[in-house]
Amino acid sequence: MSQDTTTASKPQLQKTNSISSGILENGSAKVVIEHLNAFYGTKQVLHDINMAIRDKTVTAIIGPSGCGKSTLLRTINRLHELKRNARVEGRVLLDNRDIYAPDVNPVVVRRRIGMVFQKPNPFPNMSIYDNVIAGLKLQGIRDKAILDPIVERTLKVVGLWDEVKDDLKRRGTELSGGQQQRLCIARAIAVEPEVVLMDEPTASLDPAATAIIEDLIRDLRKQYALIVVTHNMQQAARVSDHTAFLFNGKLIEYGPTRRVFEKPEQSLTEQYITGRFG
Amino acid sequence: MIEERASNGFGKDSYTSSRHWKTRLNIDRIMFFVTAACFLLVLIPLFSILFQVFYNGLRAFKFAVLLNEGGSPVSTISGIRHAITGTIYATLIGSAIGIPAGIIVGTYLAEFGNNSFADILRIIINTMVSIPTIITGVVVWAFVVTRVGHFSVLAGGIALGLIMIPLVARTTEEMIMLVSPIYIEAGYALGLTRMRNTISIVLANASKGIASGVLLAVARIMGETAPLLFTAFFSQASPSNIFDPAATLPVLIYNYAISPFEYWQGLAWIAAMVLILLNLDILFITRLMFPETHQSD
Amino acid sequence: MANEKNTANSLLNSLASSDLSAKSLADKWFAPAMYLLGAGIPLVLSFLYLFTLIKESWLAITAFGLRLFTQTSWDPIQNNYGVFTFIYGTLVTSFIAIIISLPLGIMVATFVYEYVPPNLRVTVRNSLDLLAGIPSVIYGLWGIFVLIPFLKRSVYPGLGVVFPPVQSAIGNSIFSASIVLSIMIMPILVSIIVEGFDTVPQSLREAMYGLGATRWEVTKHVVVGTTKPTIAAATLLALGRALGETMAVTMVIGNSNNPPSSFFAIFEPGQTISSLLANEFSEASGALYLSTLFELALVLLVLTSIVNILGILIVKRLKQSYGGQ
Ligand SMILES: Nc1ncnc2c1ncn2[C@@H]1O[C@H](COP(=O)(O)OP(=O)(O)O)[C@@H](O)[C@H]1O
Ligand SMILES: [Mg+2]
Repeated sequence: MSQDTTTASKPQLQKTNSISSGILENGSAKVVIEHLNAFYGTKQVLHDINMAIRDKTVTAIIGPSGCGKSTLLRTINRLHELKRNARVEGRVLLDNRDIYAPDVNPVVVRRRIGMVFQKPNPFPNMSIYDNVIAGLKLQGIRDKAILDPIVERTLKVVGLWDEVKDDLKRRGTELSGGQQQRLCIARAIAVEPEVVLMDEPTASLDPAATAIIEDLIRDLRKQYALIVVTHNMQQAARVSDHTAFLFNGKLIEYGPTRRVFEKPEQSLTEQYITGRFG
Repeated sequence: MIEERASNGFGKDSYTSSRHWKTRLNIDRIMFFVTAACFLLVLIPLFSILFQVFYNGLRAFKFAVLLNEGGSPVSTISGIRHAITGTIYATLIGSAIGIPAGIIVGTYLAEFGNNSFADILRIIINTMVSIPTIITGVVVWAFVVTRVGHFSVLAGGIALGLIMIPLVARTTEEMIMLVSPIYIEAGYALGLTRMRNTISIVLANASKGIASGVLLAVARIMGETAPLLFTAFFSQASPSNIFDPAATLPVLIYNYAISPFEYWQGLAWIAAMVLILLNLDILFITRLMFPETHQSD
Repeated sequence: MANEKNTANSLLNSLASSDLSAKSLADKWFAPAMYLLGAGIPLVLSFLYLFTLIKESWLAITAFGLRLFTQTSWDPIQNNYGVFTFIYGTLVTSFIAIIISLPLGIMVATFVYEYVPPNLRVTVRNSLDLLAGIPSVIYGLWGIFVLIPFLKRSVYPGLGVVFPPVQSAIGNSIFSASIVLSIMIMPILVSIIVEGFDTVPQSLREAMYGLGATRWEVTKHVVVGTTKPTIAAATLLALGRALGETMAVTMVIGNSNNPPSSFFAIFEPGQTISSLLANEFSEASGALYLSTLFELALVLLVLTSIVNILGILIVKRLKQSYGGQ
């Protein structure tokens, strides 16, 4: 796919203006967020967010606690609207189609966008095996001949296979915290999503488990567009290709991670990165 | 570029056909209506009962019914006054036994009950709450009626009191547990003795909650029938003292409902209406007096 | 705020009225008295129940042994005491009531907790409280004059086409009693299940939504899936309620002491342990007759207590495991 056809089919990318400079120079956008506002009741928590997210890259969202990182992430797979009084304005394009268009069922959107949460949350009523295939089962796949290889492959991707292959029937909740989080990642990628969202995936893990997950994130980027929320700047620097800095519900700066960290264009970004607040 | 397979044309899906999507989304929609229908189905009896009680009760109602003692089904001036009196007697006796005993047990569990012996007591009390009330009737018959020699409203009241003890004990403990430990510690810090602290800090702070729980327990025993069948039994006149057998509203409803006489059946509906009004009153008063204790439970 | 003021006041009052240094006699005896009464009352009561029932039924226990439960003929005048019919009636009515209410209860809980907005839940809970607060004799009254005529007029004829035995159904039957019971146990079932749904962490629901599940799929696989122990406890507690329910059953079951004509004789009149007690206890004459009735009361007590204790223990375990998180 050449650069020309991509840009031609995505005229809206021009609108994603100066703050996302350097994002799409050599590739296509998987997700495009346009004029996105998000609310809880009357309280607006995201203000006119515009950003394009490239396929097969890791995009980090950083910012102080409460700035709207989780909310932004949850608007991308339409989980936001499940909260009481939650509302969204604007557009989010997945492969150039608006997921908020009236004829789009959120269930179909979520099937294509995987999500990993801050606290590992394997289904407590299911075995390790059943956790991995939970999404596939929804799609009516029950044939063990199909499921077994998928479970093995997926658990290998997250590096859990050797640790659990002999007791796949054990409950997912009996694993250690780091293992549980990898199981949750396996559960999310088993349905072959195109985008994987992660909301502070290592926030509740120890440093060793964190390192494993970070390696995994770098690995997964070969296949997916990953969007990772973190309030740990070192982590953003370590794992991401692009970094978005969010502050008070506004996208302050967005660009290649090295540039954002080494030569921030906004003084607010610089202050945050150098630890003067947040 | 994009495989248009999903039902709403939203993108590719490696495993599922659009038909499968459609089925799943339809099931989801249908289940909303199914659960809503189940909900309405469950509400129908509630509305039907309330409607029928008031409809039939009002249809048969005349004021004399509340003022006149019981009598034969052919004398159309007989009333339910004796049953109202009997219910008041039995409920008062029951409360006199059940409330203090229940509060003592509940206080003990909350204040001294941090051990496995008390855990066993809790299980006993929870089991007692769910003992079929007719069994209490049988036990009280053996223990009181045979001793007194005949049915009496006293025996009925004792049966109601026994039913009330575990109910009151349970709310008392729950309500005391809601009192912030800070208050209790503050009491001890000021040098209060255990008794003073328990009475003037713990119980005083839990008193609203306990009162509302007690009122609900009173409402509950007022509607009990089975334990009164062989204790207070029945009579067509108000009891002159607590050793007389007595009609109560619930037993009257039972006796008159299964009787073949239309007039008595009408009285049964009136009695049901009075009983529900008393019940609703208590519920209403409880909510009015103690709105905060009902938000969380 | 008001609460704090109260405390302050009561503290001051008690300080004013008490000499702090002297422990009065009442103070000294307070703790022992609380132990004695607080622990004594429940223990004495449970002993009183068990002792009375065992003592009074001893005659029947020694006279019949287990034979009592296998024999079907109940004819006190001939001194025939077979109680199979009543055990059958008790178990079958409760069992059918659970079969009707459990799926309905789960659906209602789903609607109440997963589908309606939270502010409506209060109204729903109030209606359920109201339903639970109606005295059972009023359910019976309604059963006699409203439900049974309705069943006879509108339900049984239709059901009879599909299932011929129903054609001969008279209104007062085991099945009618089961329906009344299923209505009566609904509040306890729904309120415990809703409590269980309430303990399912939102993040589990979201994880399932994130995999592309519909709301119904989330309910089925995650909410109901993780709430299974609570649902089991709710079922047991509702069963305990149904087994011992007396008045409503007595008024609609038909009170027939004839043994069931077949294994599945639910459309005929029947009798449960409690309805038999309600009907015959105050008129029972003869030591053996009375003693047999006491033994039935004892059986009912043991049966309901086992079921309830199981339910209580499950609830307790659940509370602990959630408290530990
Ligand atoms: N359910 C909710 N209702 C109301 N406000 C909320 C809710 N969830 C989050 N918020 C508010 O929205 C803002 C953004 O929250 P969030 O996206 O969770 O921030 P972050 O993930 O960056 O810490 C915060 O100010 C928070 O208080
Ligand atoms: Mg967050």
